Amino acid sequence: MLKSRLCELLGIEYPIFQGGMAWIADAELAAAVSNAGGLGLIAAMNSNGEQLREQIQKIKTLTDKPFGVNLMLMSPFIKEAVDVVVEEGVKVVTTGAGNPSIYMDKLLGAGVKVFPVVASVGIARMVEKMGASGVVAEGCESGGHVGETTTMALVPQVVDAVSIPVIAAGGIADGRGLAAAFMFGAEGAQMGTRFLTATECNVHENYKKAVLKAKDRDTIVTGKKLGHPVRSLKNDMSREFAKLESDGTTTTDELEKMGAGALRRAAKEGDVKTGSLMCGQIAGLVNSENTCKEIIEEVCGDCEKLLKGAEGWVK
Amino acid sequence: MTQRIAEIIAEYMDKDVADINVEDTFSNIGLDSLDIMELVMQIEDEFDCKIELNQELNTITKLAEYIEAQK
Repeated sequence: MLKSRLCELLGIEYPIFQGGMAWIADAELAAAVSNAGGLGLIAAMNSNGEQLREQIQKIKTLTDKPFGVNLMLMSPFIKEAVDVVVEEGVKVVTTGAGNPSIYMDKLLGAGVKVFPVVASVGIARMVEKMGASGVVAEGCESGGHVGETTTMALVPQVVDAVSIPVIAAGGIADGRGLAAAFMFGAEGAQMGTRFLTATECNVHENYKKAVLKAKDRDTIVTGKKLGHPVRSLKNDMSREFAKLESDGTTTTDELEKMGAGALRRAAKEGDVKTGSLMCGQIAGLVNSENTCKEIIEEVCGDCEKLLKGAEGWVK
Repeated sequence: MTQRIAEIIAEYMDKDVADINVEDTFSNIGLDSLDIMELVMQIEDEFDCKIELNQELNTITKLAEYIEAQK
């Protein structure tokens, strides 16, 4: 049985986090992950307080296992979202896209365990100093907003820099990825793309099919010029965006406008042509739709076998 | 404070502080979002303050004004 500090710290059975994917990670997906023994996370994204509260109250009816909320720090409703998390007694939070320092004291003071998603050693060190319970070290193989360092390079460097638990993210979708994460010194892994294709995931069928069909080279990073690079599947939208971004005649305001609402169009309306289908590079490895329970048991079971068999390499 | 922030940024980028224009946007200075985040955390530490990042807070001058206003 796989166990790490993370399982004890959070009261979860398997050291698996589900990525806080905006417009995708709702109460139903998060509950399915939590019920399967991992840590399900509701994406707060740009939700206002009441919308987030609704999702949190919903998940409480669907699971009695630990769950968390992913807070997007650049959200215009971030203050309300933090208040709601505290009022509703949410036990775990991951944070992304911004500086968590302002909300750290309030969350920690309320007994919330905080795991900032970080893409660099410097930020991992800083959030540890602020009292973070752990860090999700996310390499640029991941979908959505990305940094520049790969998981393979980032995770061991973060592990060396901090003493709190590190959760590896980006490019992990099977037992091999999880086993590699442990080898790097991480104590768990976060998966987004794999759970995006889960049976319980409410993302539009077209989006799910596109991810299942994707191959190794089917993603592209755009938005570097805007200061927030995003990895998504290649389609009419992302190709056009990349073209306009590089030709230099399009202003950043025009590019921002073009990107606005694109993820929602893909995830909710199934617009796979002009929507933004965010997913990780590992999509090529994700070829079948499974339940969250099947995913977690497969990933952790295979990882366990690999780790037990690793001695075979030593002669 | 403006000067000290410029120094921190210059040191971070391994540049001469004279080459840093405090009115220039962070992206024009050559900082990406991760650089900005690391720097902001370092600056929070040094000035014992909290900085909420947003798109408008994009020059050294504006950042210094923001921190002053908090004091």
